[in-house]
Amino acid sequence: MADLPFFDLFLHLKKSGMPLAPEQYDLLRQSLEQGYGIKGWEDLRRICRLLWVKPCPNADNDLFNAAFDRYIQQLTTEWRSELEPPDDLAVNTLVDPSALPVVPPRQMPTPRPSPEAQAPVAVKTAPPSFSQTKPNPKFHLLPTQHPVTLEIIRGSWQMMRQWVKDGVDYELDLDETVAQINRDGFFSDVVMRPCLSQRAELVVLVDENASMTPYNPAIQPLIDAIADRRINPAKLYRFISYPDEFLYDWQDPTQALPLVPILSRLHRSRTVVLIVSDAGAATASYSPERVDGVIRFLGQLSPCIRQLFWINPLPPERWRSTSAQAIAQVLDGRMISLDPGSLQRVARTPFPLLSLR
Amino acid sequence: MKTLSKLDYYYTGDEAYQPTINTKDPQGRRYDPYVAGDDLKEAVNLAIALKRPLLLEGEPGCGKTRLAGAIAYELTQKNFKGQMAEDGKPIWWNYYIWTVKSTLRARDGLYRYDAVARLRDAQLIGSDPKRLQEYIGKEESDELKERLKDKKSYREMGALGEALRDPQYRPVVLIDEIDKADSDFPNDLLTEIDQLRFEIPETGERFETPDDDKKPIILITSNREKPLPEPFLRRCLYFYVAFPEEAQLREIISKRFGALRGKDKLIAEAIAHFYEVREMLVQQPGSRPPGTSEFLEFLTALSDRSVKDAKSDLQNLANRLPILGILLKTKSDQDLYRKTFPGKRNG
Repeated sequence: MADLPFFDLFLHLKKSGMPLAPEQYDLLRQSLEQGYGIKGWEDLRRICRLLWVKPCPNADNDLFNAAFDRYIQQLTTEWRSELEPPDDLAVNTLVDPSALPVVPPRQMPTPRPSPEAQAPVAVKTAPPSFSQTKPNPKFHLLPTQHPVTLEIIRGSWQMMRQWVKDGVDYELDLDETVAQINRDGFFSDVVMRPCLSQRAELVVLVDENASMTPYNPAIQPLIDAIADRRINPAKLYRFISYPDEFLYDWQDPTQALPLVPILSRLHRSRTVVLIVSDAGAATASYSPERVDGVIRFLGQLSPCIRQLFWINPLPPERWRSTSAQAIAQVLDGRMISLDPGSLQRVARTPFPLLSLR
Repeated sequence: MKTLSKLDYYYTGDEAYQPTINTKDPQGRRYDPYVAGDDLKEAVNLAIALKRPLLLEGEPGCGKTRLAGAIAYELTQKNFKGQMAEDGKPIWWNYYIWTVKSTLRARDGLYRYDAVARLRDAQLIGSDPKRLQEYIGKEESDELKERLKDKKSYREMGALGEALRDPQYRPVVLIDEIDKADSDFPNDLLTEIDQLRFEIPETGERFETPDDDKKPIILITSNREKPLPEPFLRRCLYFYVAFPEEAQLREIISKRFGALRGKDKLIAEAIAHFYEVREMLVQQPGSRPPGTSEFLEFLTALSDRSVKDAKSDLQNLANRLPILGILLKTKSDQDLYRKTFPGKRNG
């Protein structure tokens, strides 16, 4: 502990899912040596936040704060059980005792939330204390609390717009040609490179099944982003359960649009398709007709597009033994629930041509 | 100049080290008073102490970019105050700005090599030196010959390259709006940011990692238009510049608008209304709440008018499109404003 101060804190945060490397610990050690973060818990928290919190989903401020709070809770509970009387908290040499009141006094024993998800077991306990959220008379859901924020959508869209090889054409690479002349001292031949294009277009297909109704607010940021042309070009269509021969217009849901002309307008190196559907997971049902219909549709779709996402608003545990599981298998990791991590993972993996019946 | 070890790198943001409004350095870059919160100062000092780049994010107009200038100015005042260079001009702290554009490559911040110019020069000399002299005159053709002898004359150093080239102390480098560039850009910069050394294959030059007391102080700003890659983030300290609290905003205003004194009531009213507008827009997804810089422009516009006119503008902002347009930049935001604060408000 004397050599590696707060190493357990580092390990605790790493265990909570923050992407920390030994180098990150070294930064903390250096900061402590130089006198930063030694004036109490809040001081330490600020320094750790500066060093370790990053603007990406698995290292963000909320995750850090929650993990840091848990660490302090654990530590104080340990101290309390070790020390009698509890007023004598100031045994630790590193921390100035005057700074300790930041830690809220806790009752013993406290039910500690563990970082791993645990299976719910019916045990009679005291009601859980929500220390951070004040009890609200009504339940409010703000647009900012949606699992997928506008920012992540924008970020993923930027990522989809990466440069890709477009067609079989080649163009003159002037820079490389000049560099070659410079290297060789004379002109031998021109250097060609494949044409690159940065275009991408999005097609969103939203399942209008009744079981999807509760999840409509969750996909609203995406719909808004398309309506405001923040994502452009993009098209929205509706379907019910699975797209058969028709898709339905977004603005005018009664307008049936034949599938074949729509597919013919998609582009193998530009079109990104996003399907939003529970695939039967919400009603916990397995329908062979639905699975067949979806597979038939995907077979038609996959040669026409560059990338496919299937967002299932239900968590993967709920897909089991439903049509969703069968479809997810066909999609091989492309069916994801609404969390930013897997959204970005799929955005990074190239889409293979699905060989379906 | 003080000896290297005695240079004071601690950023305080104190009154004593603040420039007056519209101070300019020999390169014509502008410096203004800067109010930094304690958290931000701590972040800056930690980044300086750990010799890591500081990545700044925050709403547009919160003063991310101007922080680097404020640091450079304070370091000048602390260490070089009253000192003159040989040419009799005051010495300024070395401060390099690299404004990133979407077409830039990472290498452009280090150097550019104009191979085409070299090729052209070589061909000109090679064709017919006598006639060449006739055409472009002796002076220019001599210049051309000199240039061609030295490969280095075709390379131009970028901001980061300049800072790493031969530092005498720790220069300040600002990499502004890194998210504007291609998504590979930050990854291409990893070695340079991490090890602070680079080479120029065209000329065979190598620039090794500077000593600890000469490593640049690097600030990077981003508007979050693109997610930055994790390996890049791991090498930076990260600070989110929040929108200033009311007290801090007052301080910023009093520093930036010394001349506005006597209009205290008007300012108080403007601030109160500004927070109302922000409050309204923060709740609204997809809107763009005005930042500090917009508010300062807004105040400038108001301060150009008489107190009476400004007051009536402020109370009837919904119908004063030019002034409202300084705060709210989109039509939907302006419409929302008109709906929330219709017509004449009571001041």
